[in-house]
Amino acid sequence: MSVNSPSAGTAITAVALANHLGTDTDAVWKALTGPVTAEPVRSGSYPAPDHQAIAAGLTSRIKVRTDPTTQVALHLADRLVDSVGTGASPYDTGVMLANTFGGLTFGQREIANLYQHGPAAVSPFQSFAWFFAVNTGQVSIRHAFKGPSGTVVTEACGGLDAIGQAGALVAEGQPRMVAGAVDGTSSPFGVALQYSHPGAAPAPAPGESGPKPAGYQPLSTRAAGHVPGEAGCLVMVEDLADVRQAGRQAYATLAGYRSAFCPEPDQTGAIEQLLRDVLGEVGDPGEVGVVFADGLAAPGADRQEAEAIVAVWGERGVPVTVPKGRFGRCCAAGSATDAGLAALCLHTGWIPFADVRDPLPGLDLVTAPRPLERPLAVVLSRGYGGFLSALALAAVPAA
Amino acid sequence: MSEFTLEDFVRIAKVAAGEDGMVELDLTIGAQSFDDLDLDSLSVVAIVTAIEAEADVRLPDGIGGNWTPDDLVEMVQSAQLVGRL
Repeated sequence: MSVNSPSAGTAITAVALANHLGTDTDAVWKALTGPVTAEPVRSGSYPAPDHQAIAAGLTSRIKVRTDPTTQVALHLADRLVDSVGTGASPYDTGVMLANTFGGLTFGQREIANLYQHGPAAVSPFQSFAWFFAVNTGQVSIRHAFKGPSGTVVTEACGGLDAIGQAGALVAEGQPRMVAGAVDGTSSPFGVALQYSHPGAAPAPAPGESGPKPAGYQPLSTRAAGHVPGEAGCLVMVEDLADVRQAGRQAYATLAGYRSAFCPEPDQTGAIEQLLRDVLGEVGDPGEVGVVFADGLAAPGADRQEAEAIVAVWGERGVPVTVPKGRFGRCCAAGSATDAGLAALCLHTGWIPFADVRDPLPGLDLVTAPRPLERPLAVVLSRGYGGFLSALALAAVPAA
Repeated sequence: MSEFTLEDFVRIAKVAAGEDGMVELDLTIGAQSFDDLDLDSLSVVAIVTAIEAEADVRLPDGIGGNWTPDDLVEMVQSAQLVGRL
């Protein structure tokens, strides 16, 4: 199964990133393309953006009514607006974000208030602060965006699905869309939920001593599960002709998007088909300069992904990266971040690399700074339950 | 419980609803409507429930955006008076 695809005339014109490695795009990009300085993320930890630094830029009016993850979304949307403005009319801009947990930190706190102190102690802002669509709504309200908006809930694939959907809307004439995801949750309930994912690295028991807990080593023979985390990436999607007319720059074009569904456990054939489908829209596999892999870091799942990539490109036939091993697997924000990084990769010509030892045989895993040599990037995502999505981004053609 | 004042309202409102960086919540706001103070309906609910908890009173439903802090302070004072009878 596949859905409609945006045209090649749809571009990403701004990227805003925040995660464990930094609260702005430059800091995250430098961390992922320069020498490795951060400690690897390890099982039992919960990598997340610096919420205190992000909250410092928001008013108390906003803070009392929002979850920390929503505050990240507002911070990132502000950075997009700083970069490309709000558009001429409120109806020019829509918001399409993916989400898995909603404002669960806010929600857990208010449920505790209800349980301990009764209904009157529950914040009235709980009415929306917990909700899956809260980031879409709060970003729209903050900037008075009145274009089409929505919230995609497809687990890890959500970031790509939201960007693909935004691209389709822009291809149909919507001038601009804010798209992507802020996802994950630092609430105790949410962290426990994420560590209960069958692909998660077993967290050490509290107080347990012994060898260092496993790191997140996707697509490695050492893979022992992923480390969940919280992150965000929002991008601005616009019509390339409009951007050029306004004399502004674009980072990459949305060349193709496909989604599929294949129940686990064996998705090898479905991933291969998805990659061929998304490439079928845009060009030859030989034009792809990098694949951003999903990298669940569960041995069986990683082997399927590697086999599918080898089936399309051959042994060591395409550079593969999986930078999320350095800031955690962040549900829908993981794939959104990969899409944002892929756009920056096409713009700068450098591939953000994976801090992984002992890559699976057959893969050309990018584990050190490396220039991009071909004009297409493919981002692959696999969501728990059987979701599969792929996004192809292309270098901006000469005007 | 001492008599509820505008000062109490301002202190509670700053915590329960927060400030938006445009309208400062201070002792000059007594006669302005909640609408004019950019306090939306949920902000008013948050302020009213926080006042009820602190002043140990029950306020009527239907406190709307056309009310002012002075109106609310007067209402709390009446409720406190009734509570003491």
